[in-house]
Amino acid sequence: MFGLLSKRTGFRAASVAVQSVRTFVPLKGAKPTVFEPLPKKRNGENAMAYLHKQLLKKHDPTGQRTNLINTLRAGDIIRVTYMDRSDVSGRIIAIKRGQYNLGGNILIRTKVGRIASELRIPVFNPNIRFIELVEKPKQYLPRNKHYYVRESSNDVNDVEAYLKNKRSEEVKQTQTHKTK
Amino acid sequence: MLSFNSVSSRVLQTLNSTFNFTATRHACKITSIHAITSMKTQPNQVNHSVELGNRRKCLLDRPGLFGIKRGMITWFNDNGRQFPATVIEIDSVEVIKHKTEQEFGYTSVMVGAVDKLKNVNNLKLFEQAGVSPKHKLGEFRVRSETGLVPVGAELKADMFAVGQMVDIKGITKGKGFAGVMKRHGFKGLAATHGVSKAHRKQGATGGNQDPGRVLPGKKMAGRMGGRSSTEMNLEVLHADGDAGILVVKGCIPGPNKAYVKITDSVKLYGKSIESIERD
Amino acid sequence: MIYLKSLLNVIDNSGALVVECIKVLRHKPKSCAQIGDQITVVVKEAKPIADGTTSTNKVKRKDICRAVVVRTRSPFRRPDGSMVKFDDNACVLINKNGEPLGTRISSVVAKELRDLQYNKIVSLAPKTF
Repeated sequence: MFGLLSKRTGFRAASVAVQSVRTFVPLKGAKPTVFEPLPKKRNGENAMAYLHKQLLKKHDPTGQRTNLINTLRAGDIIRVTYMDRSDVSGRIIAIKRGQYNLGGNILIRTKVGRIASELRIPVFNPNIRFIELVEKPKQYLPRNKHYYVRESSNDVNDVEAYLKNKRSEEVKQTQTHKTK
Repeated sequence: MLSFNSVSSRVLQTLNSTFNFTATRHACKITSIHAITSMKTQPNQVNHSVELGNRRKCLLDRPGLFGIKRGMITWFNDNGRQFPATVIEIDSVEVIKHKTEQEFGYTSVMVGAVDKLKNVNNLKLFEQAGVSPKHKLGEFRVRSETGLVPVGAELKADMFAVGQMVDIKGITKGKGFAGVMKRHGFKGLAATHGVSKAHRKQGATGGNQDPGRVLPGKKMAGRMGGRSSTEMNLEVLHADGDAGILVVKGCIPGPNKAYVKITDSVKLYGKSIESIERD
Repeated sequence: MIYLKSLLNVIDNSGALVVECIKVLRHKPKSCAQIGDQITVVVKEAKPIADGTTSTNKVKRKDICRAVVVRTRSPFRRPDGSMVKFDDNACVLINKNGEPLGTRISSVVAKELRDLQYNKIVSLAPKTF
């Protein structure tokens, strides 16, 4: 008991002594220097937005495809021509537009000899030479995505054959006009 | 010939040092130890010491970067092939301090990322380096002191070349307390046939009276995710030093806005000091 | 996604109309067949043989033969990022050397077959998609 007390008092005395010394010595030294941060990159622009802008400039310098993907609608007929001159045409079923558009793609559906086929086309792929809007329908079906037309009465026909017929009819009409 | 009993041990020793001799006592014949040629044994090598461990460790010859995962995008290469890719932001990554083998027992570069001016501590450290206080601090071990990048230097995203492989370490998304089907891919129990309220359970966990306990390491339900994970050998698709953007092929662990540690691929470019000396 | 018990249309003139998959060949870890994969099939429905006429049918009902998948309902991905999907599962019967049993193919097949050395099938098909 006495031992404990004396220990405690001894400790207290020592701590008092330290405190008394501290009153005479300034506790805090010179404040550390804080260096300025590095200049902000991309003028503080969001990294994702900046990269997308750069990539769109690379893959779509004229801005034509960005415009196309924003203006097309499910129900339109488009033709996609690849770099090797092969082409695919079909009616748009759905369009996926991302936040920055680079991952945007168009789902087209057509019938190739009574077999319905679907193709999801990445719009900004450099393998694509151009995408053209061939025909807009007189009246659009409801909804933004036309998944419900699959195997229904509104299903698409052979788009290529339809376009061929249409072209030949147009040629015929122009010929008849000329003869008149 | 001398009788064994008649000669004292001291005499024997002196005799042994000069020439080999055999003492015979009745039928028993003892060969002196000193007659046999002995071999010196090597002292046991302790392989699990810090120093030897450091020599064996597969290390890179330069530090890496800290980045922030910003999300995934579609990437097209020039041949028209499409890949999923991850965008990592590299924001003001600077070298803060060196750790040398003499002082700490290993060689490493302390690197900080993302400047911050509020709620800062460790100000002395940044003052000595001559850089702004950082939000993220970490170390990259390097093989030798030749890999120490000078203090205060900025590490940019273009330290990685396009086409090279990198390893990316991050902390996976936490999934909370998950059951065995989600956590370990168990099949669960049957949907019907009298199974009651146990369709997603694990079933049995072990034997009966023998062994009388569940064996250690048994896969059970528990905390899932939120652990460190490294994605090895990811290809660099794009590295823009000035804009601080790094794009790698494929996905990396962790949510968006999380810090990740990017280094050269250890499997391709990593070497230990021991292997270099051997070659 | 063709696996055990999947029914496929046959699009050649070998005589079979509908076949059932009984084995996906050379696909140990994943059990599904995709376009260009070989499968073993059993003929479930064949063209009827009219009395008195010599039939050109190479196979009949209950025959077991080999086939290559040429169209699938489940979408598959091309390296350029596009996804292709057909409205039915279809196959062409082949022999063990990979040559078709029939002499004619009636409808469209996937482009991938050309890269997989099924040139005969591609050249016989009226169109590729």
